[in-house]
Amino acid sequence: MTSFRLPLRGTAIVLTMMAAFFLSACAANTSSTDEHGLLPHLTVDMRLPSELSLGSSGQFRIAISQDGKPVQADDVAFEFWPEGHPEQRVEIPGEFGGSGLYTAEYRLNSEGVYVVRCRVSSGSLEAMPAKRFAIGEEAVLRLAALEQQQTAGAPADGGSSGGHHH
Amino acid sequence: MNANVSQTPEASTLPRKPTTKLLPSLYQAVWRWHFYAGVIFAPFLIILAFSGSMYLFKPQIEGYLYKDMLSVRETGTTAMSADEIVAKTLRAYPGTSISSITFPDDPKSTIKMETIRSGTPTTMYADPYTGNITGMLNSDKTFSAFFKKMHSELVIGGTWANRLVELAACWAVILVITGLYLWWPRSKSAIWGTILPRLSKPGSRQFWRDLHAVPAFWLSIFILILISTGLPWSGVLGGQIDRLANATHTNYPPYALSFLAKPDSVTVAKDVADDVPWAAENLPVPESAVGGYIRLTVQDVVAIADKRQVKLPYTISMPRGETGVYTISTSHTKPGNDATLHIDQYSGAVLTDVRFDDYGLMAKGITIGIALHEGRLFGLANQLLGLITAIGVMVLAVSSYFMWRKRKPQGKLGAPGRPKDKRITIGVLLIMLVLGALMPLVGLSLIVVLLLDLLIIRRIRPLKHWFSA
Repeated sequence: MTSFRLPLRGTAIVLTMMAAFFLSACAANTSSTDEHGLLPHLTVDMRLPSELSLGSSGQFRIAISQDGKPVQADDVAFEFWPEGHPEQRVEIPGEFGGSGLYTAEYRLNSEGVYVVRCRVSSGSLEAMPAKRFAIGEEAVLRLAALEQQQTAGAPADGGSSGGHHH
Repeated sequence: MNANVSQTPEASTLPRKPTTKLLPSLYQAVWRWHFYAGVIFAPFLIILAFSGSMYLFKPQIEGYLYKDMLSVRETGTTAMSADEIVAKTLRAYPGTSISSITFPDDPKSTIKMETIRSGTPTTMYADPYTGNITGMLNSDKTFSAFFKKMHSELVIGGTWANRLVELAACWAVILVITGLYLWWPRSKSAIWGTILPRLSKPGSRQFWRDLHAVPAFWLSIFILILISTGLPWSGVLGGQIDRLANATHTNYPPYALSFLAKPDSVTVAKDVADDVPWAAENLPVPESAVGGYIRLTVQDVVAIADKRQVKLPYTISMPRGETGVYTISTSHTKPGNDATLHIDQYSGAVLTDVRFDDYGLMAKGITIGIALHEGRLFGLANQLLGLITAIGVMVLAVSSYFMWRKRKPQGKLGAPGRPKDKRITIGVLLIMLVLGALMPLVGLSLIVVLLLDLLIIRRIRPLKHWFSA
C-alpha cells in the first residue's frame, strides 16, 4: 500500500480541496445577496410635477439606482391611463437625461384621476412602480379617497388600481 | 408474578455470566433510570403519539371533513383574477381583512385565503371561477389546528406546555438508549425475546416484557428519527440546533422562511396623510394633486411568481403596512422546490429569492426531516410508517404499565432498587449528565430530580421506602 501514499504536502492539498468542496456544497448560498441579505435590485424614485394644468404638458421624471448608484437602464417606458380604464393606456418611452434620470412629457386634456406607471428593465432586473395624480377639484377629492383606502390596508382593488394585465 | 423487585426481566430466562460483578449493577442502574423516565413521561408520549398520528393524516381527514369547501362544484374555463376574487369577498363580507392567498395546483381546488373577520382568524375558501366563498373555518379550530396544538402544546397551550413536550421528547431519547441497553441480548443464541416475542403465555410477565422490548427494538430507530426530526421545532434545543447551523454556515440563508423576519420595500412609501393637508384643515382643494406609490395588485405578484418559475401551489402574503413586502412562498408537500420570495410592494422588485438549493446542508436536512416527520416525504408509505411508530409508542407505554403491575409490590412504587455499587450509580449519573448537557431541558430536569432526591426523598423515611431510594 506504500505506493499509494501521498507526500505530506500532497495530502494537505487534497484535504484542502476536499474541505473547500465540502464547504461549498454544504454552506448556505448567499453569494448573490448584499450585506442586508437582499438580491441586486433596482430602486426607482418617481417625481411627478407638483402642479399640473389642463392643456399644458407636465414633465414626469424618474431616477433609477442600484445599490445607491445611478443606473442606465436597457428600457424605460412611462404608461399613462385614466384610473379604472387601463385599456386607454398610452405608452411614452423615457428620455435619458444622464446619471439614472429619465423623463417623459405628457399632456392632459381632461380632468380626472390618472395613473402613471414606469416600466424599467436593466439586465434581468425589473421594476414597475406607479403613482396616481389628479387634475380638477373633484378628481383631487377622489384621489384623496383612493389614497386613504390604500393606507387603511384594504388590498389593492383590481378594478381601480391599474388592471393593466396583458 | 411474585418476582423479586430487584430481579431483572431477563433474569428468569437468560442467566447472565457471573464473571463480572459490575454488569448486574450497571443493568440495575440503567433499569432504574429507564423505569423512572418511563413512569414520568409515558403519559406525555402517549399524547404525542396520538395527536401525531391524527395530524399525519391531515390531508385525507381534512379532505374528507372539508370536502365541500376545498373543491369546486364545476370547473370553469377561465379563473377570475385574484384581485377580483378579493374585491368580491370584501364586498360580500365587509370587515374582513385578507392576509394571504394560496393558489392550488389543481384546477378542481378552491383558493384559500387567510383572513381576520371581526378579530377571529378565519380561513376562507373561494371558487376561483365564480369568486364565491365555498366555506370558512375558524383557523384556530380546524381539525389539524387542534391536533397540532395538542402535539406541540398539549392543548392547554403556552410556553410551559411546549417546554414539557420538548422535555418528554428528549427523555424519550434516553428511554430508547437505556431501553436498548436493557434489551441487548445477553445470550448469543437468543432470538426469542429479542427480535421475536414469546407470546405463548398471554398475560404473563414474559408476555408483557416481550410485547414491550421486542417492538421497542424494532421501532427504536424510527422513534429516534421522529424525535430528531421534530426537535428543530423545539424551543430550547431547536434554538441550539439553529446556532450550530449558523456556526457551521449550513443554516437557511437570510429570508429563506416566509414566517420569519421580512425585509422592507425599498420604494419609499410617502405618507399620504401629509399629502392632503387641505382635506383636514378645510383649505381650498387644489387644482391638481399627486398621490403616493400604488401597491401592486395580487395579479402583478402572480405574474412575477410565474416569471421566476415558482411552481404552484404557492401562497402570496399581503404586505403589512406601508413598508411591507409581498411574500411568495411555496406550499409543496415535498421539499425540493421550496421557494420564498419577498417583493417590493410598489415596484415589484424581487428583493429576495431563496430556493431549496440555496439552503445549507443542515437546513436541507431539517427541511427534509420535517417533511418526513409530517409524513409528506414519500406519500402514504411515509404516513403509515409514522402511524406504525406512533401506535408502537402507545403499545410500549401500555405494555410497560402491565410489566410494572406484574412486578409492583404492596406499599412501594416498585422501582428497581439503587445499585449497591456506588461507582456504577455515579458512572451512570455522569452519562446522564452528558446527555443533559446535550439536551438542556434534560439537564435542568436532572438537577431538579437530584435536588429532590437529596433534600426531600432521602430524608423522609416513608418516601425513601416508597421510591426504593
